[in-house]
Amino acid sequence: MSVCPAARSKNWLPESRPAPYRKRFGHAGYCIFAASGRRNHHRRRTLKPKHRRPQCPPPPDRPEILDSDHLSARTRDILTSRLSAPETQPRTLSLQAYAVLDALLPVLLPLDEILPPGTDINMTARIDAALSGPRDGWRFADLPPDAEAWEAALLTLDDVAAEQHGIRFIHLAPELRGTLLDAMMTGQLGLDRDGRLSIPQMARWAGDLRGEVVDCVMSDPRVQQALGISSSLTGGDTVFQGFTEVGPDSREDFEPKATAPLAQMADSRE
Amino acid sequence: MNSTTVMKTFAETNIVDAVVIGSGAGGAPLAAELARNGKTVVVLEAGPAFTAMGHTPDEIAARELYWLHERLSAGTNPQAFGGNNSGTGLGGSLLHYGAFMPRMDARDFHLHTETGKGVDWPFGLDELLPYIERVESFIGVSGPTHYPWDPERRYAYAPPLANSAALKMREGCDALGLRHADGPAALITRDIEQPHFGTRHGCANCGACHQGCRNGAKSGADNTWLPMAVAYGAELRPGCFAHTIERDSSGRVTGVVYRQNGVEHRQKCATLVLAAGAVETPRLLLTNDLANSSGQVGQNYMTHVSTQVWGEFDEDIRPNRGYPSLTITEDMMRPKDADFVGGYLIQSLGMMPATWGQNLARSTTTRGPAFARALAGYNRSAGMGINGECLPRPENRVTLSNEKDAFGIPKPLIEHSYGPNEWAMHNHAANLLSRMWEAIGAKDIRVIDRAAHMIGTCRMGTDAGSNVVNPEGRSFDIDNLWISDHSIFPSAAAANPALAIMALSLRTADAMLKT
Ligand SMILES: Cc1cc2nc3c(=O)[nH]c(=O)nc-3n(C[C@H](O)[C@H](O)[C@H](O)COP(=O)(O)OP(=O)(O)OC[C@H]3O[C@@H](n4cnc5c(N)ncnc54)[C@H](O)[C@@H]3O)c2cc1C
Ligand code: SF4
Repeated sequence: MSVCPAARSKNWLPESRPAPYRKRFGHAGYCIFAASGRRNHHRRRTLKPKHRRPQCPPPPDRPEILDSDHLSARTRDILTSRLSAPETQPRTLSLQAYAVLDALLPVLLPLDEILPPGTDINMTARIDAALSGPRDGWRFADLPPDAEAWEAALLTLDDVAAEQHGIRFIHLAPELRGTLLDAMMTGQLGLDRDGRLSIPQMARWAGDLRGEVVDCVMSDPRVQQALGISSSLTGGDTVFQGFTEVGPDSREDFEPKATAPLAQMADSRE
Repeated sequence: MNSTTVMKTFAETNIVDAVVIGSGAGGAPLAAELARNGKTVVVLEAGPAFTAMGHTPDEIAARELYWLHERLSAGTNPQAFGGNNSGTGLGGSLLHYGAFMPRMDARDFHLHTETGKGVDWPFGLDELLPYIERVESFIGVSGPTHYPWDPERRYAYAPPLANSAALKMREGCDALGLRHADGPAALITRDIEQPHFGTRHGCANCGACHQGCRNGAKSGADNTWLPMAVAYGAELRPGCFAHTIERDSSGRVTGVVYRQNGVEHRQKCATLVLAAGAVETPRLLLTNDLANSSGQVGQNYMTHVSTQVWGEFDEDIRPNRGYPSLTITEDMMRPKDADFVGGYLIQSLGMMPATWGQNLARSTTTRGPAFARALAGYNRSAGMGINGECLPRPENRVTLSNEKDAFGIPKPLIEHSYGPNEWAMHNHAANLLSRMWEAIGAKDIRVIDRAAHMIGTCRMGTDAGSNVVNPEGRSFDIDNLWISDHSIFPSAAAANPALAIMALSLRTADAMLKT
């Protein structure tokens, strides 16, 4: 199988320097193969490192909704800030845990059918940074505080990978990473030792992981644009427009149309 | 607040007639009513003062409206707090509540008499109705001209536009022969001049009620009761976290110690009203070891069974648009085929994308492309949700955990597990709502088992041995301590709670004025 150069370099994730690769290349990788419909062509992680620059140009990065006058200045600033990656990575997790998170996200929630090829929403870095910011005001009593729980959970996955397969989580083929995630979510994966999470704790944490990922994805302006979501466009600062049409099949002109392959069905009926 | 009103301020050494801790549904009406009757009032609110136009529909940033001091959640149905069940700021949880405003069903006041289960209230609907009507008329509630379950009832404002979910639920009800109506919603649908506040605009159908209403259409405390309180001389102090309740040698309350911008302050008062909500009020009492001769502080924690059922439609639904929960049916308040006591209301549900995605993420274990596909279905999704009775159970309670927060105060531990009645109601609703969606062609129907609201923990009743406050909201143990918030509810009742909390708040104010 031929592999695109961008994918080749980013598929190598040395434990000592996991973060910057994503900033440069993005995990979805903009490349000629993306357009060819070979969706899983970036999933291999067992390749040898090659430090080559990607040959594909960066994708257009500014979603149109950001320029709508149905957006308040404050909301525009909030959404725009999500277009760039947090400066220091990792901020909360250890390098090892960060690398595990980075390797599990595309298996948990691949975005290549939602976002335009080459768009990277820096999920790993944003989640890691969010773990150091204000949290959402509660946690399961049987889990340690969030940052600690995430570190322990990700290291648990890494240890289980090593115990079951003899290699670290990040080197597992996507299918095997997926199997471990499934085991975690259905209450079959955990470790009873210090600094790691037990089986019931891992199942609980899986909910937190899924919730955090969805927060990150659904609040991203590129995702909102691609899925045709108008939730940020409630009204501007001088005129608070709201919506005049709210029934089925009544998209207003200022609302985005879905562009993601996965979400075009509704719009195609208009 | 009305820009022309200058807020009166009190010196900390003044002994004010009343300090009210908390400015939400329980605290604000009472503060306004006491001030209107000439009492000196200081409201201590832990959260900030927000401005309506500063709210943002961005769900992550709108977390500023939640209570973010960490709570620990346990039990077999650990409850999510944050955006699901908390609020902070001048206006309390009403800043981001959904404004669904049904009245409590008369039967729910006497559940124990009716069924032998649960608890009776110390009075019936007749007692609360005049206060309910005062609340509705003062804050502004919209509703239909004919309310099928109470034909006498009138609303001052026409309902807002029905969004996709509301229209779909109407179809679902018709398909199964259930009655439906536009539900009562605490919002106005035409511009008005709100006394002591200024202009409030009619609902713009923006759909972001849970992130804060930007044009004043939603009837909260920030644009109704609190401006009125200020107009009559009350002082609102945002950013003030109350933590210590001081007493004299006879045990009566003399003042409150609170922290503002990292500095400790003390406000003296003749009377203290706790209106900090059903988790923070018992936490304050427990940390101060107060008013608990009954041993009931923190006990009887209840929620509402709030099962949701979502489906995907072929049409472009766009669930973020329009007032989120317009259609109601009260036909399940006492279903004939029920294997549970009490009943539930059904309402249509639109939702903002991250909140919707959170529900999906936490209620399934899909992964990979299937997960992405489910999220991509947002614009085709409509939901319905219930709000149902939840019985008090000894294992459900608020206690102090071993962990301390940034103030050095123990974090609250909230244990919550459904009992057989809650599960039976959940199953009944899951089945009915799924059939409604199936009947009108919804696909990928998904049941979400969830509980909402924080209720109980400082029960009101006639017997001092098993209740924390008397039927007026006054502590049995300390005669100048009152409670006015969701914690005093003896039973959960099915209706969304804010209307009854505000009505009780006015009633407690009346009782205070008589003493
Ligand atoms: C997302 C959401 C949607 C809802 N939707 C609806 C709905 O559609 N209809 C409905 O009827 N109800 C709804 N509710 C419920 C309703 O908002 C609450 O039941 C109601 O506001 C509770 O009133 P309360 O006075 O008990 O507490 P709150 O309104 O929460 O007020 C408590 C206040 O006390 C403050 N406080 C707490 N501790 C301290 C302290 N130590 N010092 C100083 N201040 C303190 C808090 O910051 C807060 O502002 C919703 C709630 C939420 C969270
Ligand atoms: S839908 Fe109406 S009431 Fe709700 S936030 Fe928007 S304008 Fe305010």
